[in-house]
Amino acid sequence: MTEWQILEGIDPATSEFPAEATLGCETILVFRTANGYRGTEPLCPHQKVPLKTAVLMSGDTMIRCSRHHFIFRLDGGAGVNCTGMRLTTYPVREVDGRLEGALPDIEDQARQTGAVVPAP
Amino acid sequence: MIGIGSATVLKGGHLVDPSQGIDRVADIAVVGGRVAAVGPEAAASVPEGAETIDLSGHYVSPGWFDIHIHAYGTLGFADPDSIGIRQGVTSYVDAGGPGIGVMDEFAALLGGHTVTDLYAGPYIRPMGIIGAQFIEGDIRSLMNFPVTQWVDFMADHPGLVRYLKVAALGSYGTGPLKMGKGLAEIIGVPLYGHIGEYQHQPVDPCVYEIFNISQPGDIITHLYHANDGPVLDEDSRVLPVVRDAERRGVLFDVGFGAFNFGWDLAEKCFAQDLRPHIISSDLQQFNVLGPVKSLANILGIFLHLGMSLDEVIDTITHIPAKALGLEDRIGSLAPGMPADITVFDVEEGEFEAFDTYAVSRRIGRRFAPVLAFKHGVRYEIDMELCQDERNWMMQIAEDHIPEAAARLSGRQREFLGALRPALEPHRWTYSLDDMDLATATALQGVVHAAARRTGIPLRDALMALYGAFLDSPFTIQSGLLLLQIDRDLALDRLEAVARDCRAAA
Repeated sequence: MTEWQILEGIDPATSEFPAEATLGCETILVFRTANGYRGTEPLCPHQKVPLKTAVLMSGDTMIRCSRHHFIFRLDGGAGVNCTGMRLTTYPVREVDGRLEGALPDIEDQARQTGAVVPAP
Repeated sequence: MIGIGSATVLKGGHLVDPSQGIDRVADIAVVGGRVAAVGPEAAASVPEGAETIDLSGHYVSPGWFDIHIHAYGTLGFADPDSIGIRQGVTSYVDAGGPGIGVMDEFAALLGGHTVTDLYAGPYIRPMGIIGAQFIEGDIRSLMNFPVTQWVDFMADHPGLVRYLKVAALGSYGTGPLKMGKGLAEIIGVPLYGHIGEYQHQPVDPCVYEIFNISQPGDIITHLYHANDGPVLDEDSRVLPVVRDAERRGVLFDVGFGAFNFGWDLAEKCFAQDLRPHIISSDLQQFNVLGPVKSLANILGIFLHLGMSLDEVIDTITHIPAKALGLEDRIGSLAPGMPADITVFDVEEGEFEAFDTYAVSRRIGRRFAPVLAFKHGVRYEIDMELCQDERNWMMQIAEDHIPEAAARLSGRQREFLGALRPALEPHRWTYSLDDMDLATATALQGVVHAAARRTGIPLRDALMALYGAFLDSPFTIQSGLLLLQIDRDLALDRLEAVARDCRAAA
């Protein structure tokens, strides 16, 4: 079950997206897309370039790092043109004018890391 | 429109042709796709009524030759001409996209299918450059070094391969580089050495041994990289091993790349007169949106660094043509040469030019291609065609059958129908952490065997495969493509696309 937490330091009405926010003790980056909000780790896994300048593409389903154009899916974080790279992503939702985020659940983490999740 | 067999005069352009020592306004007569005359006699060298194109106010040069691009494989483009003729480059060399294990696919897919003359600089590893860091450093991917396969390919495809690419990367010392030099000598081509370690592998002394191993005529690329193992020492002096190689006749290439050109380092090199013999772009999906964008876009950097226009044009025409043994057809507009011509402007102003580390400088001039001619045929320039996402980013159509599948021939669908049961005994999964090269090779073998059994040309088989899974026809190695597709999805899709044909019949 997803445990939602209020994202601190971000306001869907006034923030300029992508915007940094605090999820618990983590700093994440939040993208506003045509499909809702999505959070990612703030630095590109390639050479740790800030993703604040990343570009949404492919119907807002992916982001492209502005430095070397490595592309990651926002759903799951898989590298599209960079096999072996993966971006940590976080679900984000808007509730009553506030943004809430959650740590990736175990299945999402497994999907992102390629690990096998034991059957319950 | 000018075509082969017709005649025309290109009038009034400022011709810069270092091979002939020409740097002045000169008319060029083109007849039958070749240069008939240059200078005052041009008008008299064409039949009466020949077309005249006024190039006054523009520069003209032999067609640009970019010896380091990526047209094939995971770094390449769905439309390779978008980084060639459409940007004023009339010939180019794919730098390491294929290896010997996929040279047959490379030749089948691209041989004669681009307007821009495409040559190969294959990579020493059998699958070519995959762009995946977990493969590059693994000695096992050299895969027993099939020398006879190289020799046979060279005999079967004379003139296609122009150099052998190796990478001075870490992990296994100088042995692989020495093997690469040996292979280059066996097959009779220059060694083309990549320097610059950016993939977080430890810097190995072999990164400098490439300068010792290289002999006169060999080429080292990424000269101005600012990654681990640069050409300057800690005090920013050019390393003696680099100077020794230069004196010996080793050629230095820019290979701008996505990771391989630093302003600060280049400025220090130029201050010590360490200049490139060749300028190449290393255009690929990771730099087509910037900072490279095109060969033209980086040329102004070298004017800024102190090279003359004549010197810059020399680095992209005569020098690389001679280095790769192609001076009989590239790099000169002497009478008799193919009419491969680039028309361009040198714009003056203030422009921001980035290196590959997000550092910029203000430069005062930039190159802007205007027109290109290939064997006398005129092509309009479109500098941004290559930046279309569909051109540089391969997308596997997981949730729909690509439109291209509807255009497959009956024989292509028959091939796909034969491929499906041939693949069924094989198991594969796609892991983010470990691309299984052995399985990719095995799957490639299955594809080729199915093509032979159904009697379909390899190109048609590969295009059928791409049409079943890709929205744009990227020339990715067939085994690597299948490896990246969920096995169940792959088998179901092959059945579905093949079934469409049987249903129609």
